[in-house]
Amino acid sequence: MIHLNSLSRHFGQLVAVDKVTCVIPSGVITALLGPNGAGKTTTLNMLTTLLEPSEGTASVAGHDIRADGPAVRRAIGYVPEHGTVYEGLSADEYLELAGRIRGLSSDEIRSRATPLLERFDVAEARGRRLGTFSKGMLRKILVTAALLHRPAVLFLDEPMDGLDVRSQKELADLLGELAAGGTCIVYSSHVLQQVEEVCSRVLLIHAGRLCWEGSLTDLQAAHAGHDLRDIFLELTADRTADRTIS
Amino acid sequence: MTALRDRLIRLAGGEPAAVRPLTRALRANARGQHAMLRESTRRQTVMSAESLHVLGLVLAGLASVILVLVTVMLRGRGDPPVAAIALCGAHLLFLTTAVVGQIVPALLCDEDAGVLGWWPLTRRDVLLARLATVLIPALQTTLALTALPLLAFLFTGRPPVAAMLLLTFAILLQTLVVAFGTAVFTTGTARALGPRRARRLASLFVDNNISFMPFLLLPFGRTLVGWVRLHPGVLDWLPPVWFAAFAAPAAGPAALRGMALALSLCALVGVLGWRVASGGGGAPATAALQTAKVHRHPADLLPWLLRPWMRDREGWVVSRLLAAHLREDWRFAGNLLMIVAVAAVMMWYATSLRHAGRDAAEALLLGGSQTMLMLVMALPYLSTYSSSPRALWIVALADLDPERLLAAQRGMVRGLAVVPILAVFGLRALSYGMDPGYVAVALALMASEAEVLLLIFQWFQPEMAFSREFTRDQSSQNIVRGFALAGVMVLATIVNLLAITYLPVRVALLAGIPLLFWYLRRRLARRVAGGRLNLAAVAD
Repeated sequence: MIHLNSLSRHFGQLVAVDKVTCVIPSGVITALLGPNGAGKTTTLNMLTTLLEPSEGTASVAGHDIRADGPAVRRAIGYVPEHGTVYEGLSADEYLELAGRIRGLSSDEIRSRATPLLERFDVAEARGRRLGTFSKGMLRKILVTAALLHRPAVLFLDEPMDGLDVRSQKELADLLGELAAGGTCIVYSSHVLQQVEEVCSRVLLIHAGRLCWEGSLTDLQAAHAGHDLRDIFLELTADRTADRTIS
Repeated sequence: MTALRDRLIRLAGGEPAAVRPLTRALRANARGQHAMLRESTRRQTVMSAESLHVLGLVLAGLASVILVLVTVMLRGRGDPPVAAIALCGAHLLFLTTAVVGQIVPALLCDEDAGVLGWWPLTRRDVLLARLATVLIPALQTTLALTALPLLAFLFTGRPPVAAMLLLTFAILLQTLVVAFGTAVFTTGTARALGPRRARRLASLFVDNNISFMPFLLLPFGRTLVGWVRLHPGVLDWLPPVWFAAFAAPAAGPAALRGMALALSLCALVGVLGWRVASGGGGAPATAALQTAKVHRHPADLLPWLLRPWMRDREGWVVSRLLAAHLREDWRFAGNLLMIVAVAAVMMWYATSLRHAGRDAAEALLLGGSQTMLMLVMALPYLSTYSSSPRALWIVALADLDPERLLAAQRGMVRGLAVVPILAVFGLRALSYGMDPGYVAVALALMASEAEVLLLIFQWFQPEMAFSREFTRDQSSQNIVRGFALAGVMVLATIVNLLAITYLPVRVALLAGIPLLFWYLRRRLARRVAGGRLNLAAVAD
């Protein structure tokens, strides 16, 4: 479970995230939505301890992101939108590193990675260097690395980007299984159709502020059953929001 | 051994279970990246990291033989001992070059944050892993360079055995301090500057440019030596020399004070600096949003200044690309700055009468032409590279003429290097009272040689400017090209020497070069007609 408590981040005079307070429960897939520059990635960066909040705080899997960063990092898995890797390593070497850092043995790493790689259809390429991988293949390796240690909280930023249709379905099914097993999943994306298929809760951020928090069905019910695209456009229609520090 | 290593890691505040796999991965990554680079290079003219290191060790071994001779020849001379200073200075130079090139760019760019910023690792773990990758090569370099000279101190030191033991201790200490100090200083700098500025600073150190920096002190050499002679006490501030001086009976309390200061400084770097640089359990911060507006840059004037040599549409494109790279591509700008600085020093040296010896004309012609040759080969090579060649897709789609694009590249070198060098050379020669006729012939000869070499370069590498991506470390490629360049320079120097000495050779050269120029240009035009000049690779 994740608790955000007045979480804010400023870049100079610009308020990227403005006092966001909400709860993200375990056992469901929560979509993090918003237009470009709304503050989604900044929020994810703070929750994954990559960025210090300017004000407020949050707890991830019971650990405060300000006071207990290492414990947060042990509890989470993260698939960033522009995930970089050590390109000279083979997929196996990279997964070995990801697992070892989290205290897994070689046998554990192999036994956990192999089913995931086979599911994503990249098992054949595990000996190849990551620098030779396509965007989609790299994303599959990043997802596998994020899941190796069975994290309590999983953050995904545009996880389907670059994946073929079959792999998209596999990933959606896998996320459903993980959520059913009690994992807290935060899914950030611009592709609303995927969000409707994968997620059951929505956090909508606009101009750094939280506009909506609740289940997808409640959101649609509150807006006379319109589809998600229309609701999104309606809630983010105000483009004049002041984002400077007052 | 593993237990000792783990204890050392814990002593430095790291977690062995994290540092060891990360160190292994960083080494494997370096090997893998060089292997990929080799596979992607057509002629495989790339040295592996291991080969580069072995070459460095061979050079260090050769330098150590010279240091042994210095030690034996200067035995008992100077206070503090000159041989010890030479040894420590050479060690510092070799070590800094090896260490800085290997870890500074990675640390300044915070490369690891993008890969494992959200993994359960502390900043200290990452720093220790980076250090571990460099410590063994640093110790090997130290051994190759200093083992024999230190043995020489066994017999020639003052007093013999104590001098060797103290110097050995000092050299090992210097190795550790340079490695730790570099990491500490770099990380501290990165934290102080912020990610964006640190990344820009890193671009100046990526391609082993630091090895050229001592060369830039050449113009100040006499002044520096004179100052040191006036203030000999300053040498007491070089840490290893303190130890050497301690071994000398005549050194007295100054050496003791110096040694105490040296140890304090090392402790300061090792403990306080380490804590400051690697402190804080948090992951490195990601780059902040950039909200500043883009301002005008002096490089924007370049397209106008180079207009006489880059006239048509293709010239405009290449000159705008050059300005954009000087403004935004700090790696390109840093490398260019270093080449220009080295050329300026060469030019100063070549055109200074102090170094001209008896025949000023000969020195000017040889020195000037060598600077010109270096720039004429280095500039087109450098301008082939870019940090963002994919941005050229818009050029790749335009109907630009390949031959005129190459001509624009030649025009760029003409405007940036050939014309300024000829101007400096000509003015300096006339100010020395040389015969204007002789100077005019020399200038014509140099300009013609430059044009021919440019065409030869383009014949071997007919590529659009800025169309090739910089590799992670360019130095392994630069070394191979550097050897080829040195060969061409030696050949051209021999031709120039013959031209200076024999009138018929001079006449034949002046008559033959225009013909050669015409022939090469024609062949090059035929070769590139309808080609893509590597622009197809932009979309790769």
